Amino acid sequence: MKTKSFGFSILVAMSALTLSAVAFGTNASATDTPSPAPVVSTDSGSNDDGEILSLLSGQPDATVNVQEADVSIDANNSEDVQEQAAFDDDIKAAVLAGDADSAAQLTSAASIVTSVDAPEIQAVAADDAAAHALIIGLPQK
Amino acid sequence: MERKSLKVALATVLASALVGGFVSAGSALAAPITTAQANAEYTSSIADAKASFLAAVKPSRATMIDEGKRAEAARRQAVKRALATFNSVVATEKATSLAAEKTYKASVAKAVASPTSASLKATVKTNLVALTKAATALSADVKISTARVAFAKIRTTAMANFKSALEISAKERTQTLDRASLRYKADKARALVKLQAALKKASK
Repeated sequence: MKTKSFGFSILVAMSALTLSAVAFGTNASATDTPSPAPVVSTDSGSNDDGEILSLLSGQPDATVNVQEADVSIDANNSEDVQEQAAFDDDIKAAVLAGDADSAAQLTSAASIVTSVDAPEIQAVAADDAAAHALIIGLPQK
Repeated sequence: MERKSLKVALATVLASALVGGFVSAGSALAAPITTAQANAEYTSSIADAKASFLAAVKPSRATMIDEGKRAEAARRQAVKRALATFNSVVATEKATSLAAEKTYKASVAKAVASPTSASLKATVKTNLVALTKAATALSADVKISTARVAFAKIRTTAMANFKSALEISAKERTQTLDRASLRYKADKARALVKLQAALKKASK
């Protein structure tokens, strides 16, 4: 009795599923062969990624184009320039006096004094440029 | 008991199948629309999908850039503080050399004013030696090299923190974009299926 009832139930369920599949098939066949051809473009989605990129490409990006001037670097550079100028006066005087040896020593001293912070300034400038490039390079798409 | 639960399960399957069937059939039997109407609906759906996509994505890019700029400002601030400390050490250690340069310059001026004075010429030479010594000492200054190492450490850490913040921000934005892209593709596919079904009906 139990087996017979179970078999009947399965039959009913299969019938229902068949009915559903037939109804679904009506729509599915409509999607398989569109006719007439639509007026608008209806690609299959294969170029969606390119289309998404094109949707985003027109987005303004002006907010990241301005890099704040680094006041610290400017101050350091300005100080070094002033110190170099002071040494330049001495070097010029030594050259005018025909004292090449003194001029050479002054040039060497100037190089040391004015370039103590050069590696740091260069590193800071490089970091600033790299950081700025990273922000600009944030995903556009 | 076992039979009852089996019946319930089968009834559920039957009901859902029938509902699905009716929905599909109902859709198929809906009043047909013209090709122009179908295309207009499709165009409108695509425009809506694009608008939804941009509405989801645009603010996320602005947020990502803002977070990136905040992280960059924090990095710069940290580097600026560290550079000020480094500069302070350098300025102190440079003072001897700069003072020696001024002394040398003043002695040169005096020697130029009295070109026949041998002692003034000798003073110039002495002052140049002092200046050279001070500059040489500066190039090997331990306090400066220590400050240099400390500064490099802070600079490197600040850059690493900045990059990390940027990566997190970019990742979040990518997730938003991926979700919006998926939704856009789904919306577009749905509009296409609807269009094709409508065109099929219109052709009959």
